[in-house]
Amino acid sequence: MEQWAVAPPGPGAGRDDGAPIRHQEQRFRYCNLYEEHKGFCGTDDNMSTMLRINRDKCGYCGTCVAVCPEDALELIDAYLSLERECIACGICARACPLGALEVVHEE
Amino acid sequence: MKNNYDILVIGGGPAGALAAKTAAEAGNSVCIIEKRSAIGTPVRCAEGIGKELLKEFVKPDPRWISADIERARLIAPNGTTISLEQDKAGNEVGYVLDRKVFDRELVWQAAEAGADVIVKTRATEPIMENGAVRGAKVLSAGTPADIRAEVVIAADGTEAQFARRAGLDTVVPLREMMSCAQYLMTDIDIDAGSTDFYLGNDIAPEGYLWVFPKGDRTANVGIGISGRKSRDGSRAKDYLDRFVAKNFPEGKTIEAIAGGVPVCRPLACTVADGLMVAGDAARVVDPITGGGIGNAMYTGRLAAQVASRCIEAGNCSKEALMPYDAEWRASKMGAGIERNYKVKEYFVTLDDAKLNTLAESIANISLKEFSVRALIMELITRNPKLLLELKALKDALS
Repeated sequence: MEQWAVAPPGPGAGRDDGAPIRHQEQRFRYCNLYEEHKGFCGTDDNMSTMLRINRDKCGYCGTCVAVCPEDALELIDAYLSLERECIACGICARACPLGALEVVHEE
Repeated sequence: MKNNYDILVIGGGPAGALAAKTAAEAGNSVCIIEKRSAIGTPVRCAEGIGKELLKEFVKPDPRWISADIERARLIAPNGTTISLEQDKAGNEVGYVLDRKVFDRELVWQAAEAGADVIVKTRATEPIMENGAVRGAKVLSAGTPADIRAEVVIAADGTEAQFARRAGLDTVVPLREMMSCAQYLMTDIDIDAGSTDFYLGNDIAPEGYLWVFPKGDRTANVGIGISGRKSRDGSRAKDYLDRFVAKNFPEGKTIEAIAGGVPVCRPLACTVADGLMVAGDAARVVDPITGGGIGNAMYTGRLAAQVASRCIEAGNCSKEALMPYDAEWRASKMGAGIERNYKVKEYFVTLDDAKLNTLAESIANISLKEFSVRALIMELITRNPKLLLELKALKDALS
């Protein structure tokens, strides 16, 4: 586990009407994956999520960097780093050609 | 390290190199910073480029040309093959480059023209003053420094983080990010004069799989699929591995790379106060072919030409730099991207049966011109029944 970058879910932005955004909505608000993933996410707002980078699989290509809605990932030479707050939206994990990224949900 | 230049170029790929060379030749002080520790590696490219396009920017040199291409073949899901031959078309096909050498040559030409080049130096954020970009904060082999410039040309490729941190929206929607993997394979049976494109939703959903020769029995075998089709068990690498196991089981992979190709529309605006964006960072990739080398060189050079004029006139505001944005949009490249974007949006909706039907209808054609446009016009001519669906395409082409 130690070689994996781990980030707690970020606070994110509130809704336009000022109400606090539900964690699972926040996670998918940038993509159209919400409908597809809501069963998978569960409904527990207290669930902890994190992004795992499997460095043995990573091809340090930067595809994830370009799709990250939060500018959280950084490709530093041949090292992918989680530099800023991750909202665990999972878009990077989908885009990765090699399957090196995984959003992990834990109670 | 000098801390003040007329023009700072972020990224040492084809866009950055052409920008730096052009700017240096116009008499500006220029610096290219490259975050990787070497120019040209690791490659993130299938390495194909049209001959005519290439020749606009650099004289072809066998040192960085891996293969001279005479034909292209499109292979439909049922195996129907459309072969486009150079000797039947009026124009030339293309080259497969050796990007490791090619990129170094371009940067060398920039250096020879007077540009400084610094590797292992990453721009962490723009230096912003009154909303304008005035240079970049960098980490050079771990040491922080400020490099100030009248104009920064962001040519930082797919990641496009510099422009993003200066306030431009460069995020690529998942469905418009082609998730790509490629093997450089050797000891395989290929046609060394043909670039082959395999289509089909089981082969490469919303993308294509390519075999681009790099010489006899050697080729870039790669694939791009839409990000929305990418998931565990059906990622670019999985599709590629299946194709290779079936078609080149005895082949040897001597290099494995990955990459992302943005096939969204170009950035809404490619300039800001003190900032210009060029190449893949500006999302000026052909949405049908995924080709970006030529467009990168074109926008890099144009950006530097406009920047040079603005620096001389003492005004590098967004408004002053705007002719760059206007000119590439109005150019053949800009019109081609817009057209091919619409064509792509149509083609990604096709199922395999329709792809087969379309391929069969043009299986024996000889095109007078070697281009996506000529191919689509032929499709429309031969498929009057599809005209309703193809109407959007026809409008895009007119």
